[in-house]
Amino acid sequence: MIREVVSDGLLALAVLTVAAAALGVAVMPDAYARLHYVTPAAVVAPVFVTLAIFVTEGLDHRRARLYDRHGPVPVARHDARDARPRPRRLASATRAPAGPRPAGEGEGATMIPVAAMDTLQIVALVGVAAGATVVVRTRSRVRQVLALSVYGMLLAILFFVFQAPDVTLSELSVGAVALPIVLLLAIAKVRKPEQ
Amino acid sequence: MTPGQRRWFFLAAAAGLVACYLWAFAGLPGFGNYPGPYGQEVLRQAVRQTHATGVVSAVNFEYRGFDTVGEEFILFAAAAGLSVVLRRLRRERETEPAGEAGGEAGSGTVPAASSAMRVPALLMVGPTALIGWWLASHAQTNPSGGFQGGVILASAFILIYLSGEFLAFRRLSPVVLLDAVEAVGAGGFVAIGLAALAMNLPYLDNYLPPGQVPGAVSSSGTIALISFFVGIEVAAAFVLIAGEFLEQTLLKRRSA
Repeated sequence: MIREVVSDGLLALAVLTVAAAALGVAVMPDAYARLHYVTPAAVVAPVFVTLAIFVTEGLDHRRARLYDRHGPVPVARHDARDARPRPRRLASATRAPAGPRPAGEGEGATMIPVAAMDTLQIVALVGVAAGATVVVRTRSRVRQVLALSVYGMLLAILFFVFQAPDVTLSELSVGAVALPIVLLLAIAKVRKPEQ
Repeated sequence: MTPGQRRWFFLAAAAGLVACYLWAFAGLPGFGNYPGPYGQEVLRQAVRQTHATGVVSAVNFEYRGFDTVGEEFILFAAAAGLSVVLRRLRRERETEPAGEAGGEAGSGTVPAASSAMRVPALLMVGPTALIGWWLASHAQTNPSGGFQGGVILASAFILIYLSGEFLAFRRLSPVVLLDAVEAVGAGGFVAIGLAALAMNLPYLDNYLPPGQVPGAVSSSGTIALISFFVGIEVAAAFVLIAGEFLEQTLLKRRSA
């Protein structure tokens, strides 16, 4: 439970960082001053989300023991029908033992109310749709790159909410760090020198 | 084609697209309902077979390791292509990076970094590099991997630039060294696979002992090693890419 609260807090901090950085970017007069405001969005926010992932997933090696509960499954006796998953409700992915879990959390400890998880997932989906719309509708190139960076963050949060921490890390590092830097540098290069 | 015809053409095409899209959508499995047996099988077997608790890494670097080789060389080829396209041409000479030499009015397109910018950026360099290494070396135990770790490691170098130290960035990441590290990373991955062939095993077969405890850092055999090589390859590639772009932006190149 504490893990959930802490990771939620970290995610909120990440969102606030990106929002503040976006505000700074919108206010600053020229591209290089704006570039300074990209850093918190590109670095601090990913660090917060990374920390949230580790708080949720845990750093210890003992998670592997969870697999002992199910026991080894011999290949020969394994029926293909067993592998077919039960149809799930929207948020029941949180209950299925689909991925490694921190050892400190028992069967009931990780349970998040289904409605809360549903809400979180819907909010993440709506946020990504809104972010994508903002990216497409932004006319200024520099602002578009920054909107893209924020969109990358939203996408990372979406992946995290849908329990794909590996993809979250990839999206964070590429969508929020690598892509905006390359795009901003390219824009700075092709921009005419302001005399 | 008149605008009217074009509009009708668009409307017909859009209607067809919407129809096909809805038809395809109706045939999708329910939300969260994964119908393929492969994923379930991997979840059952992966930890036992590879002793890697990061099952995604086990898939990336073991079961589908060959795909990852291809992906890695996409990045390798991209970085190489960028270096070729942005190379210094003959009859081009470089001038000093504007702004760094110390505020020549008029020529300075890059303002010097403020202290408020410089101090946090420099403070973040160490932790960022640590997180990068940690991610790259813990693919077998945690949701992480060489790719993510490599990009974050590269962003530690980019932080050095953001703190206003372009020249330090360049000193710390000479292109020759980056090329060598990138080649070692890409080559190391391939070499791990070829070593398996030399032992009469399938390419990229996990021939190292998987370790006693699933989920220990030293477990999972070649998965950890491949993740490490991917990490340094990706880090070098991204620093190289960022460095090339920075040079293009900061160093004014004029044909003499």
